[in-house]
Amino acid sequence: MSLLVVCEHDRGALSDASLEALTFGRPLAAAAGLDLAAVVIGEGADAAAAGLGAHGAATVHVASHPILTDFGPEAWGETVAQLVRSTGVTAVLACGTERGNEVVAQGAARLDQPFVANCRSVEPGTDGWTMTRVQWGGSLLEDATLTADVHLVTVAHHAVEAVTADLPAAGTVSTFAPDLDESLARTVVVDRVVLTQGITLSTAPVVVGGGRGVGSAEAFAPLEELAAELGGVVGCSRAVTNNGWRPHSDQVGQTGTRIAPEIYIASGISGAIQHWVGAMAAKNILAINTDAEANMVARAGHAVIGDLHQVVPAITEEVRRRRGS
Amino acid sequence: MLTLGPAEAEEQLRYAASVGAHRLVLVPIAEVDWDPQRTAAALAGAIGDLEAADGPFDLVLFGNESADAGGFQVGVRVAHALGRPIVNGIKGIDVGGDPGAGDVPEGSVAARREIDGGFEVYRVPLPAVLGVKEGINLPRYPTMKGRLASKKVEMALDERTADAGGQGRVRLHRPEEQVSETIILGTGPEAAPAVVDLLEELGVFQ
Repeated sequence: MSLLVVCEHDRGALSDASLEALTFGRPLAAAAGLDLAAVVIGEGADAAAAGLGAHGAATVHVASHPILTDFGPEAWGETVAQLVRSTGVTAVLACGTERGNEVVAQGAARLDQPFVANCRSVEPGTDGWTMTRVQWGGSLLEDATLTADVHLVTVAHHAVEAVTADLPAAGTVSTFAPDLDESLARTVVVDRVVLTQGITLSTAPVVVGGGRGVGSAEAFAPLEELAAELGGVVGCSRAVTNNGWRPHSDQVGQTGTRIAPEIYIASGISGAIQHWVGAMAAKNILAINTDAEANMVARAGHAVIGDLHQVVPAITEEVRRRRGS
Repeated sequence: MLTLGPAEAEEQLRYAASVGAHRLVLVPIAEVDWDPQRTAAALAGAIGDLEAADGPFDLVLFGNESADAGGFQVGVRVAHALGRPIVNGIKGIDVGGDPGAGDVPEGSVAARREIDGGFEVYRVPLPAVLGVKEGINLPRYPTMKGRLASKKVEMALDERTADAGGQGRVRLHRPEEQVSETIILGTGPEAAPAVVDLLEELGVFQ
């Protein structure tokens, strides 16, 4: 009997989110008396599988089928469901990313089992499992119960920090060939368009955020300059996208991107809860605001009280001065 | 426009009518929340009845997740029950045959989903289900004319029963507030050196 961790990878490189799921899964499997298994799907799965023993997986299933080359939610979900039926899996775990929640939901629908998304903690029990899960992006918590033959859950992204296992496990690789109907190719990715090369909002070590206080699309230029000096990117609040100053893809928040930089420089952002839940995984937050009472100032580790239109260029200038450029 | 919820959900449906929905269906529930499996079973049943009367929908759109419960699964379960394809996280749709849809063949949709630094494209044959995300468009505001017209749109009630699923709620609570003493680095542009000291300390500026 095993707990199966569904891993995501990019052409063989495991995602940080998957390492979080494995980190979360190790004590969970131990508490539930289950072996830890993992599954990797798609092009490069072999390479991704090789490192999973170090993360505690006793068994690594490499799912192989012509229509699994690229991501497809139905084909991936069906693969998970078949692994559950055929390899003694009694619990399924993934990280609550877009894909993680989607694939586990697909698996749950196919198995006709419940699925609890975005948990922060999970306690297995013989009479059903209990868990605390996040709602409203993390501003509200729900204590929930899960009664099921197969327990399917996801762990909220950034709820745990990924670490390798104290003791590596065997990581025995086993090929799994699911029986997939060709019709499932209908939801496989057919094309991928890259708009931004290099660092992005979700991976940037520095995010310079702007809110309503920035005032216009043009007034983001100094924020762009500071971000460029620090090797970071610009993010924004919902007020900014609603005003059409920046595209929705720059939005940080519950319905935008969850960021986790080394530092988030939040300028002219009051810190509404929907924004905060997208920013709270930042390791450090510097708030720049004219209002010393703003929520963002109260929640930040550091703050500068002042007008961002003066403060942000002054920081850029100081960075350049110290670099001697 | 179809929703499942308590009587207050009628307000949302009326709002939908004021911005263009022609037909409103409410699956009324007494309790505040139904679990995702129960919700999906009731909605799949309601869609099935609508289709039995008027023929199949080409495209059924769900919100990717509810803003409150955030179960991330009702659309997937309904699509599975209806035997239709679904892709979640969609922020752009081109309907085949529409002007501007390029080479997307009639009888299918091209759906775009954001990924880190770009987007990926799906080509899904109709009939289909899509889970759409906020940011797919900027919703219009209701006009006065729309508001008035919405009052005349018929609201159908579809009472349904469905078995409870395996997820139960015990209680809701607020997360412990992370108490942080905010260190004020200064006031105005004079604070810049202190900010850069901090950036150096954090190793984000060398």
